[in-house]
Amino acid sequence: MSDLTELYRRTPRLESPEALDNAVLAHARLHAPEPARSRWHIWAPALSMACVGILGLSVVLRNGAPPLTGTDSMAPAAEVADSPSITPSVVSLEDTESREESVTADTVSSPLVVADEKVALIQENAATRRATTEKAVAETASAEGATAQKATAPVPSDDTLAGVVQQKRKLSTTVDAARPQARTTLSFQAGESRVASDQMMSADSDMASNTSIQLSPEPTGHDWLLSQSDEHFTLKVAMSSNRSALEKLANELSAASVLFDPVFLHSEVHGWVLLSGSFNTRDTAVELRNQLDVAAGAEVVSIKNIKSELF
Amino acid sequence: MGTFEKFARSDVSLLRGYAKGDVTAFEKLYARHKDALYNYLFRSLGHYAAAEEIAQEVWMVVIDQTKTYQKRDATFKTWLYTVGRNKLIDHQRKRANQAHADIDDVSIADTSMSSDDRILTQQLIAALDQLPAEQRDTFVLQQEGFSQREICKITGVGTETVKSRLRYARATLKQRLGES
Repeated sequence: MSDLTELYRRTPRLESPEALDNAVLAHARLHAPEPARSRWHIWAPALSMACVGILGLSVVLRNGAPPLTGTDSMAPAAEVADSPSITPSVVSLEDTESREESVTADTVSSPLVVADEKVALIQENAATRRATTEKAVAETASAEGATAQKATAPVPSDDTLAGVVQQKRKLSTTVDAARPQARTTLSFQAGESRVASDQMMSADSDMASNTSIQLSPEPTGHDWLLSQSDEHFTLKVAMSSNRSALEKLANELSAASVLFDPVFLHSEVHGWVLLSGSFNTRDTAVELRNQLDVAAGAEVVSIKNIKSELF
Repeated sequence: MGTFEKFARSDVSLLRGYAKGDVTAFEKLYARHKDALYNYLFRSLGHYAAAEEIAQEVWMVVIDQTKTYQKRDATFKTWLYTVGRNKLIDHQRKRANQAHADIDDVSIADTSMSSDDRILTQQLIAALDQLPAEQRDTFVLQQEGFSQREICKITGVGTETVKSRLRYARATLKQRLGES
């Protein structure tokens, strides 16, 4: 260690003045940065909102639309065990005539409504049968003097339950028949009815079974035709979901009138619609109409201006 | 290094604590370096008031740049003395521009010193004051415990330059103090 270093260290070490310390520390306190907030305070609101959202979503999903079980009105599985087992099957639509006569397609709103109506009807029938059974039991018990069995016989017998199930099947078949172009699947599983209606608007598949020709419903006639303005006319003759039947009719009309030029259009409402060709004047349309009366043996039911919307 | 000093918080840790709002961390940091910095400034200037003024300015810079301080290659102590040296150079330029700065104005008025210490300190300060500023800074920094490498970082010159300045400073001081 050199002499200079020794001399330097012999000199007294000075302490910083108290005024300097106070000034610096006061400045440090005055300009101290704000304490940093922990990240928990930043994420806490977002996390709490997310938790509340998940909880609410789970509650909503848990209390969502209840399945169509109908267990309240159905018999327990053990009680229907003796009834003939019914496997899930597709009830085919066979009797189309009775379907059209019983309920038209426009009166059926939706498969869910159909199911509700069936369940309500089943409940009503079951209640009626139960009341009848109770009344019969009560009369028998009073006659024999056995009062103990009177109050404890609300459960219908197996025959009654089997009758209810059979009635439900019959009812479902009837309701399904109300849809000319719908395929309804009805299944029974463990005493519960589950209706899964699948409406398939397929005109081609039903064309062969529906042979009826429905005349166009617009009220028209010879007088109405004459009252129309002399413009471009198109005759709407008939409508049906069976195109082959319309084609047969079209052939007959064509043979009777050289002016008849059949046109087929597909309608979402009426299935297939048979149209004639267009005419430049009212007189030609009237002439064809008169010939159609003779050829088809029926009234021409609709005449519309070609400038207006047909469908 | 004692057992407790070994586990003491580092300068950077204290500075980051102050950056997060911990005032006590800055108080610890200030207590650790305040006297050494003040002695360095005083022995470089030879004036209490000027050393106090510059020391305050240096610590203000530290406080203001706490948030922007990033750990550099140098330690906090090296950065602190770099700031102090820059302030010292600024002060010396101002004094050089003044009309007259008499060495007699250097006040050694600490009454707590003994007469021998006061004379010794006065001789050392007088000898240092006659050195060129670069040599004086280099010599004082070495006596305050900085290595040559640290002195290079503080003064911004190369190692050979530091060695040269130290050699000339020692020779001059020996000559002046031997005469006195």
